[in-house]
Amino acid sequence: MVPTPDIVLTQLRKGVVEYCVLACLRSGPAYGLELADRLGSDSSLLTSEGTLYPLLSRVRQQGWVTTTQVPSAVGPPRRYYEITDEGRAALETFLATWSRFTTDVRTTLES
Amino acid sequence: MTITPELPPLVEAYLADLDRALAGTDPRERADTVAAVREHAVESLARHGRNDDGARRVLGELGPVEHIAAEATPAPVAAPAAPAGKVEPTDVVLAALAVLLWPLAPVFLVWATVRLRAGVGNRALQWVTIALSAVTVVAGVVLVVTHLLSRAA
Repeated sequence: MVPTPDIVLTQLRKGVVEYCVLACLRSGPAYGLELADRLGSDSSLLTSEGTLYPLLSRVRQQGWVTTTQVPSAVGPPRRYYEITDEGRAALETFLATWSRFTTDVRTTLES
Repeated sequence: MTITPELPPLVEAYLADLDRALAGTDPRERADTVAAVREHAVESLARHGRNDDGARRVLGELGPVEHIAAEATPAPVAAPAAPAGKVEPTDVVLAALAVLLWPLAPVFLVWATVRLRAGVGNRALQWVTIALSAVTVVAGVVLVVTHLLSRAA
């Protein structure tokens, strides 16, 4: 069976997108919609904006982000997500590994 | 006090669908996700308008609830209880002998313990044998000590 681009993307996202979320939070805390904007609405990182939220819940349970409720002018308080020291350390580890991995993948694919 | 604005019926129906689609996923993740998607919808409606067109656009960006549920972690499966084990004649005979041949209680105590630790036979019967044998052994020791003390006096 030849996989569709969607199937390939689904596989590639696993274990990667949570680190992209952490990377988006390095510049400062963000609420959900803001974070979705930072990730890019047309980007291939998320299937759709809603798929961001189970992932955010998981990284919060892992202790990589914390949440704070901040009053909002447009409705109920906003849930701001902020990266923790443990999240930064996890991101650093991922970056070092990712760099080597992508180099090896590119070298192999282009050989 | 937090005032949650009323959402268009289309969005409320979507959130109810999402909650149902998340059945069978990690309960904490399910609650977090529904609450966060609700907040997202409120923010996004403020951006696109709270009319039907705005609601459709917001839901289109959030994507099908099935896609969101597919990203959620399945609920942890409870560990199955240890099986009671098959009733074997040895277990029944051991339990009966522990009562009838009480002078041999230490033998039955050791035998039932070995079978229990090996995971063979019926655990409940083995525990009955162990309990009966232990009571007999303890009672025997008490009787012997009492007898020796009375002779020494």
